[in-house]
Amino acid sequence: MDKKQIDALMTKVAEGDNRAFERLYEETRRGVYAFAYSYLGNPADAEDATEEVYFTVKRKAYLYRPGTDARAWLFQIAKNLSLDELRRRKQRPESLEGLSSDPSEQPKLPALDLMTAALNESEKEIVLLHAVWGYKHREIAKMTGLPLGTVTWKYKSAAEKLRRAWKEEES
Amino acid sequence: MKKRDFFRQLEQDLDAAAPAMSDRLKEQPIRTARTPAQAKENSAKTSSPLPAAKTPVRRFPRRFTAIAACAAAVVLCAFAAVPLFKAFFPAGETAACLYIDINPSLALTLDENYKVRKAVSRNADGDTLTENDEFSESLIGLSAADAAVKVAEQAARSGYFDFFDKGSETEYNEMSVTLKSSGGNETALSGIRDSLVDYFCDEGIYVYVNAAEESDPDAGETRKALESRPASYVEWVADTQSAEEMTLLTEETAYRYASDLLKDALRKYDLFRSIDDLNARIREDPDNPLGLSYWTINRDLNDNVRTLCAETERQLEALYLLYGVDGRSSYLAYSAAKTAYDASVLLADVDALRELDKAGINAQTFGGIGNLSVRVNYFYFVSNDILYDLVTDIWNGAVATVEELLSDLGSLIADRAVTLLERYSAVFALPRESIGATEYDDFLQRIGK
Repeated sequence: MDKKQIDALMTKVAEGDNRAFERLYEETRRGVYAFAYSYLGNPADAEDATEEVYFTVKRKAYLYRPGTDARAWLFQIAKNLSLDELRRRKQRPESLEGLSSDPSEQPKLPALDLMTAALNESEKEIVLLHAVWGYKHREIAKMTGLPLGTVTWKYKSAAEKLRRAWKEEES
Repeated sequence: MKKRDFFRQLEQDLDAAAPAMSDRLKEQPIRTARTPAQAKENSAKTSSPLPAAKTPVRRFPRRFTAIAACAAAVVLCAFAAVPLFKAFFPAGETAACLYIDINPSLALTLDENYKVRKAVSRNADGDTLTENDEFSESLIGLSAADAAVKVAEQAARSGYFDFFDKGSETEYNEMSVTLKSSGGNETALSGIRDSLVDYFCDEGIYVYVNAAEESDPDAGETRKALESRPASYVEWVADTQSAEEMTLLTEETAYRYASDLLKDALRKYDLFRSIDDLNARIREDPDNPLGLSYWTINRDLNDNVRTLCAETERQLEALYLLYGVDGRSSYLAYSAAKTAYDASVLLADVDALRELDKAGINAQTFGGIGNLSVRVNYFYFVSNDILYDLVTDIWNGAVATVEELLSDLGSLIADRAVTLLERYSAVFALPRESIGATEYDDFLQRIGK
């Protein structure tokens, strides 16, 4: 995702440009979905959360300040909504779990499932920010408040875990 | 299964699963600014048109290496041969490519009018130029001569030509241009050579331009092959080379980068020492009994003081432009900067680092337990954010997969390119005396050309 391109689109969305919103959605939906899925672990909830992110964008686009990082803004909305959903799940009665969708109808997402299972929260975040959202390690360090060396090390460590888990999965 | 396949699968998963926009979302209105003041604030900040839709492309920022420059002369070597294969090309169609080697190496594919069709990088340093979209696009449609000058100019601004050394027998800038075409075109080559010489003369930089022409019977195919490659060298290598070769490229790149940082740091060290030495000589001038410094003395006191002050001013300017140390106007500012710098190099064995610089930084001189003290010295001497990344990577060992290699290379290239372009653009914006024809001829003689 090109930062300047996304910033320009978000600025237009803030002015009420629906065409720009559609373009923004197309450019960023994969990153938002990946993030939601990494927290929520199933396609149906991730879809709902993704949609909710963009509803929030439409409701709050006027608050976006041009020149700031629109990707980071989207990422933060996605993270907050996903965490809210996780909190709501904890309060939901157990009998309602798993009734939201029929597992047999859900698409098979081997890489996403593997990542969700193999990595901890911090590792997932760093891998998604780098591999899907296109942030550099240095930018991730700034966003997350972690030292750059820690980000680099965590990414490599996560990549190694994924490599091993993927190899086991394939064999 | 390599990690690259995992990410390919991840992309497929996301393509399959990330939902299309629902009708409900489409119908939701966008809430714009609540108040006229907010609307005004928002619209004042936005005036750009909707960006054109682009197919997302994985971008690999390029690596940047500063190379010590050599001064130059112009020599024309023609190897033109009238091709027997002209008959294979339709009437009026000539294929040609211009190869430019400074250290950034580029190939410009040319149409039948010798106008640029595409710029392709041929080494990691070339990526510094071609990855700048504005620059790359500005070359399209230019004549080969104008494009060659533009490439040289951009390379100069990026630090590939030395501003402070006008030229000597042993140190001079050098570049090569080679025109390969299906038919010879000495006129085009002369035009390219002359344009480059004129540019360097105006800029006051002595550059040896080695211009050569070669016949390429398969020029059409060569051009086609170049145009089908990515503009970025790193990206091309990633597509065509193995993980092992990429590992080697990354290691070499990382070590070259470490070497550049060391050269820069040694230069800064030498500038401080030299300025101190000049100032000491100013203080010791017999007509300066009070021992006034460069910053307080009357610069027209005598010829000796005038010369020493002029040289000190030049070196302070260099220090300021290269490192932002502004000691030009007051001793206090200079002294503060120097004290801070000396503190940072207190524990460094500078002589040992010079030897390292001469030997070149590589796995043998820099890696291993035996060279741990060298790395510690280096870290103190050259310490900065970018170095931290480099040292971490080299210390931990090179990365094992293509994806990570490209990411690391990308970070190194991008950060370094931005820093050096900022630094050297200021240097090359300074006015310099042009080099006249007589001076240039004298220089050619001096360097034996």
